[in-house]
Amino acid sequence: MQYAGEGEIQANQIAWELGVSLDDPSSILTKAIHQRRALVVKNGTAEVAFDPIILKQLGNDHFAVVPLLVENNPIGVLVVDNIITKRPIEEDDIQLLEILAAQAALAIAHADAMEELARKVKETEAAYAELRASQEKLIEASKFAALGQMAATVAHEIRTPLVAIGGFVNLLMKKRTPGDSEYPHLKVVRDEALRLEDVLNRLLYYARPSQPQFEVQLIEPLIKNALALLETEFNERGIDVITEFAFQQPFPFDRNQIRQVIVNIIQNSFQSMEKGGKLYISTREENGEIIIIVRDTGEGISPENLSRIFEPFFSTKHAGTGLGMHVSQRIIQSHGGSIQVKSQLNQGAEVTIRLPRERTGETG
Amino acid sequence: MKKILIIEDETHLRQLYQSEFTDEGYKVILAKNGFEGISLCKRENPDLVVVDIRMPGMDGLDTISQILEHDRSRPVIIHSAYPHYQDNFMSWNADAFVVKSGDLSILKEKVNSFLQPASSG
Repeated sequence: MQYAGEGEIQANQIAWELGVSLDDPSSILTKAIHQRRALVVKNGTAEVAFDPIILKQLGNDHFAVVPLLVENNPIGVLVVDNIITKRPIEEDDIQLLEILAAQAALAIAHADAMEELARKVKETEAAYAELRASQEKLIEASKFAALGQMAATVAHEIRTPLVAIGGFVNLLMKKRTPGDSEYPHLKVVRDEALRLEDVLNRLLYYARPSQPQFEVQLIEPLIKNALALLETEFNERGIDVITEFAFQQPFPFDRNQIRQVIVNIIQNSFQSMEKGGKLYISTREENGEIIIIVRDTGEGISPENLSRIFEPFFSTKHAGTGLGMHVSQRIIQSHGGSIQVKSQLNQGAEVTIRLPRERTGETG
Repeated sequence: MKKILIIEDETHLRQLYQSEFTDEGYKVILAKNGFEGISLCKRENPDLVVVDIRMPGMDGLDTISQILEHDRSRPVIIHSAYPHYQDNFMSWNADAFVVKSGDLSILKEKVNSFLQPASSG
């Protein structure tokens, strides 16, 4: 066994040294491959002429070269010598070798095919995983679309009675003073009706976003109006509102849509300051952009929630639709602007909206 | 006193608008569908028209086209529960588009901006 081991090393050494290029026509190995038949060397000669260097490399002038063929395509050669037995290589041996070569070629081809198959299986698995991921996304998307459509239908059905409720309560409130005993109750009905309307607006915008209707106007009254909606709640909770409207010029934006965004952000801030706090709102102009910043001292947003804040139907609130920030982002983007949220847990949050001072090219 | 015509198929909303716009100092004429709206428009010659879109029979967009055929100078405000009609070019005939809300302040502001009434509510 020890001898065989040594022989193996020696054979490997020889095989290594035998390496020839397929382009080298002088080698007997390439001749056997090209002619697709066994060639026998006896006493250093064969029926074809060849480079004699191989005799030195093998240390033998009796050997046979048999091509390994798979469906007549060569995949290698078998070199067999008689170095141990010294028995001459006969026609019978060649036939046996050819059978062995055919079997060996098939085995090698199978091994290659198996390797190829394993690679393909891996590729298929990767493709399948990718397909499944995109399929899941598609299902998610169609779920949102179906939900959006249903939301639109329901929202339209609900809006008309809601407008009547809100409108008539407003009428009743006008006929009373804040000191009347019914006044706070009427106010609850009105505010809740308006809150429902706000939810509907978000659902509707989600289902079918509309193009902004640009009108050149001031932003300050709109923000003040949005703040006034929550004024009583701010006071009750001990939230101080600090405003700084450094930008005082009219510029083009869709009043309803931007109001929706501002109200949404202010409401989020309000909800994050259960124990009171400060709400800062400022406007300024910078490089042709109007910058609106809403900053609060509320509970802040964790990094994992912050990364998902603009996803549709993502909400950390029990009663949230999860559409507020998503719709806000879409509205701001349709104005050609951008919206960013910076926050850390327990450190408040800051929303920055950038809107172009002038309309740039887009239709509206 | 300025006259406004409000075309709205919902009875309760008609009552609400009547009350609110009378308080604002306008004479309010009400129509419950497009056909009635067109004939009242011809007969009463209002200073401004507020029209709903989704109405049985003739919708608000057709109603607007016919009203404008009669007189293009009269301001028309669409007042609809369906914000996406803003994307419909037929709605661009109107001078303004207001989404229905229980808070009528935006609609009032729009009406006032066109008519600037002498008295205010």
